[in-house]
Amino acid sequence: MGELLLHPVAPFLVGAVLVWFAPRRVAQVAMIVAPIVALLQLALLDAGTTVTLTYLGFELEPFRVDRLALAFGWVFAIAALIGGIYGLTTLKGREPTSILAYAGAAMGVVFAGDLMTVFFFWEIKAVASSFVIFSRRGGNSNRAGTRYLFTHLVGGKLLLAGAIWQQSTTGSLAFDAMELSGGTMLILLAFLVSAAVPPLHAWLPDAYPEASVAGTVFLSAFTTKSAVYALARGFPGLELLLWLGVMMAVYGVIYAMLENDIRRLLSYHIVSQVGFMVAAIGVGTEFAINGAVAHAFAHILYKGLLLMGVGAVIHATGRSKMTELGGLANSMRSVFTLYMVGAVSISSLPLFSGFVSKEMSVAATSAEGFTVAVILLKVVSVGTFLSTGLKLPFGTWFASDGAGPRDAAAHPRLRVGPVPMSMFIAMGIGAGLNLLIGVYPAVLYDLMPHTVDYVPYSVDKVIEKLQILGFTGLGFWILIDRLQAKAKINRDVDWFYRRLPKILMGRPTPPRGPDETAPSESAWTARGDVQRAGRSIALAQGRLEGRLPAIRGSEPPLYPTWVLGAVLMSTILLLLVLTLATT
Amino acid sequence: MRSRAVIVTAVLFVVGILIDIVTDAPGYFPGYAAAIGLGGTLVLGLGSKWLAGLFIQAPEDYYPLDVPGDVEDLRG
Repeated sequence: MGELLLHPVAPFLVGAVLVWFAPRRVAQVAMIVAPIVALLQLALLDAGTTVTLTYLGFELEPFRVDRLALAFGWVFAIAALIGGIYGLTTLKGREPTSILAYAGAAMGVVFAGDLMTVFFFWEIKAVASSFVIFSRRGGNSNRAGTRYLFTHLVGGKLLLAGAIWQQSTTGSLAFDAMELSGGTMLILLAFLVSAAVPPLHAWLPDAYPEASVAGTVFLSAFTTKSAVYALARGFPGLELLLWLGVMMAVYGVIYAMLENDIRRLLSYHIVSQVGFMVAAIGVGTEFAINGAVAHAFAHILYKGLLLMGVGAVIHATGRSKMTELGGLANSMRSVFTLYMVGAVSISSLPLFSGFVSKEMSVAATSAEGFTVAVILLKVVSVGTFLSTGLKLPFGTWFASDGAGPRDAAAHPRLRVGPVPMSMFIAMGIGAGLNLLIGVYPAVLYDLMPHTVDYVPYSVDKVIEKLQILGFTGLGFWILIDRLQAKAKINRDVDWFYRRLPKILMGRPTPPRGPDETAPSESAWTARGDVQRAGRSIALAQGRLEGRLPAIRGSEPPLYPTWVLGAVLMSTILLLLVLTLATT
Repeated sequence: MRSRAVIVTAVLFVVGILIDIVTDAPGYFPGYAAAIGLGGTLVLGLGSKWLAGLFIQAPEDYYPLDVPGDVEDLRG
């Protein structure tokens, strides 16, 4: 049991409690010290360390260390440290508590050896990450956070139901590779929700851009990557995952191509890049699992860097849409340079981290003869460079007709505020790590769960990649007018729970455009009893929400609409159904 | 400007094919990587715009309860 002292969960959870009571200065120190202690603990841990105990008659393994867990543990601790430095001057209120609890719970998932421990930390992760979103207390964070919480609570209940079912049929709660059965299908579904596999993904681009600029950096690191870890642990070689992963990659990049909000664009790229990892897990060979883990590791670093870059822009300008930005290159040159390190990393430019990680997962897919999947993944790589490496930086820093000034004195429309030094330090560390991994891939490969034989740098691979990226740039040059962002939002599957219920309930909505008007009062009376009942509910809801401005921005952070009621009711119904089904 | 971009791209596409032939690059055909880069850009760029017009994109006030300007001003 003494090994539990080395559990990397400990410094985060202790820190989370400490910063709840401590003054802001202590909280700032804890945000840095907790991940450093976790890194020291990881350095002292050996693969094979395990702690078992019996609780309520269940054989549990709350602490299990192997190379797969260690790889994720290292990158989670590094991400927490970088994010902590980034948010040093901007984190406010209870946000540090939520973040430390969130990071600790993600660590707990990674080092859990049984499904009950996984569920325990999974739930803490869901709640703590929701409060990371709520902590912004502005914009749409309350509504988006509530939808996020709902999705993840349902996912957690699926995991619990699956774990109980698995225990009742096999007599074991061990969290190892599983065959598909009734119980494990529920577990798989829970992991797919958390991995943001379409159509279960809408929570991600909905909620991540609504957190604070530092909160989004943390969110990008832990939730989906915990799910990637869980899939790699529980379902390696399940071919369904290969095709789900390819679908994710394509789906995410198409939406990213259309997005106007810079953080939402990068959120769609999380969906897309996690698709590469899920696909490699579906291939399931040691080579492919190494590819998935390496890509998860690199992705946390470069996606964090990208989100820190655009977060600095939002912090300095107060704007997050490309149609409201542009022309910042002269005033935010350093941020642009650091962002571009992340952009070329995610685009797999040789000498940067993506080239040694993403290409490994694609090569592993190719090695097993999945030609169609490989071609689609390469096309997705094109879209990645197109949107994160060309469209976003062009729209944010360069577009000459953007709102932002090339010369602040001549165009005072967009004032650019200062970016704190702590943000530059965090981005600098992130950029340095991406470059280090790209130049010296052994740093990454030595952490992989299996021995790595892959050689990333050869003339063929470098020439192919340079040609793909070069011709992507030329294609952008040709289509530049058509690819610029428009001031629109994109309807995703969240439409089914954000808009459809209101349409079914016959709730009046404001006119959408010149061709569409709100239904008239007489139209309502002609729609039958069901819709009249729906209208009554809608009107009651409208009256409730009419009172909201008075309490918006004050306690409690949860937005008290029918959404919250739906969260609670759905959870209760799901638990009831599962209880009846398993008895 | 677009015609110049097309001409430059066409010339470089031929150069890319020649490079593949000279280096015996392991693609499915000479110019494979260039075709992936250029073709991928055209397919994704134009395809996504087509889907956007079909059903994806909507006005910014489509969800009426959303706060339109979704950033807070943190400038010092």
